[in-house]
Amino acid sequence: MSGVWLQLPLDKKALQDIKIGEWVNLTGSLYTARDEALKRIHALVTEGKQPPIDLKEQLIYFVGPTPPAPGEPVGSAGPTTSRRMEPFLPAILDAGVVAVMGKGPLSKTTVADFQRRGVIYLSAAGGAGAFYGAKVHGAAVVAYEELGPEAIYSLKVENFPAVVAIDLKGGNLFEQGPQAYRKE
Amino acid sequence: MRKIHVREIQTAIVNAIKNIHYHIRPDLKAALQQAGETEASPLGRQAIKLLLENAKMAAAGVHPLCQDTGMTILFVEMGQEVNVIGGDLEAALQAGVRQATEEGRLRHSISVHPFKRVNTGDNTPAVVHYQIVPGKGCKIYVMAKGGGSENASVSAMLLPSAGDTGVQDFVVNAVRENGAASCPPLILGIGVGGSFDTAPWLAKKALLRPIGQASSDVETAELEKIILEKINTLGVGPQGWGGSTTALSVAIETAPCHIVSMPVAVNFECHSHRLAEVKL
Repeated sequence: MSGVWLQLPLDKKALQDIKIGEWVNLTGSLYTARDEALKRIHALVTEGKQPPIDLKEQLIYFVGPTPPAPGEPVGSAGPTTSRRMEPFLPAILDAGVVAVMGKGPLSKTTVADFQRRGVIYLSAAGGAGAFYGAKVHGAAVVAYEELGPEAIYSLKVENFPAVVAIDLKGGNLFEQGPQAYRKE
Repeated sequence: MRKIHVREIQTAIVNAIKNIHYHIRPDLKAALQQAGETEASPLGRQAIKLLLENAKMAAAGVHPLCQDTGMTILFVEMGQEVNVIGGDLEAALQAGVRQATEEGRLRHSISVHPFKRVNTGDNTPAVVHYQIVPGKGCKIYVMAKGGGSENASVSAMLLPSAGDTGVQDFVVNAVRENGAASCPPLILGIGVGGSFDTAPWLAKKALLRPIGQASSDVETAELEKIILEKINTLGVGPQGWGGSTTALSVAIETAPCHIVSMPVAVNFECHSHRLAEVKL
């Protein structure tokens, strides 16, 4: 996909000009986390403790990959539903996360919180697990190994495409996108 | 009596499960290709192109189509003149799921208990629906059902006076509310009638129909068409990014029901529709 090239970890300045509906191509390292891992981080941050990894300036990808084929870092690795993570988002944003990536819309409250904090939301294409799995060139568990596919991994990605769904200019693709095509 | 050994059933299940996670169904591929041409939004067309590219890559056998390899749902239609030999049928089916999960490198996505979120570690148990049918055949539908779309599914007890427009509104509202989060373009199975428990079962059964195949009942087929058209005016579009293709197909199954009831259920299925029909 042609689009804006973004190096990970993200430089906040690079996020200023990207707009909803635009493709970005991610290259570098990101962290994965989903339901159970986020619940644990939420509990730690709420108690005033440090998360197991430094989340400053990081992008969190909501994913639980399938087991890798021999010689591969991961199997299929597409996004999971983001709104399930909403109860835990304030905690990871407090810990310094600047962007999250998953699939599907987020609530109005979350959208407002992201815009207040200057956090962007990237929507990867749900159900494209094989496509995304092949964009991952390295994977290492960095926390909560016992959670299996729900553990926190550091993933090395290359030219990993996603669409900007919440930008820093007040845009929300999941609202404005459908509005443009509604014919009810 | 025709004899079928459980080993034969297990092998067939293993092969079907491994296959559906790496190879897109031809009817689904055709529906996506068509949507790729008719979709109004450029971003929507790009999303569909990416999904077709995804299917091409999965076929190499390294990465499954989707990382949510789902809960396995089996619909067993067993002829009453069949004698299953060599062991326990249910155990053979579950063993097949376990073996396919290992050999197909599928994700472990099943919790032992809804409150204690401990993983079973092998994707069992599959949900199995049995039907005894006339004859000597044995047909098993094998479906891998993703959790995201399953979460969007809903059922309700409507009043009979709501009629078919009540069903239309119920389904369209459900898609308006939850469509974007369940990996559109969607495939929708709708069940109407029976008792409280029948409607969701019918809704899932409706998903077994090939994509785009209309109901054999003329009035039901007309209702399927109307609902599909209405859903595609919502603007949700592929991935929820906006567009004219929110659903690829709508299939409705009905059953007789009580004079005071109209149970209705809609089972959401994502575009990653992994389904096979095994005949023994």
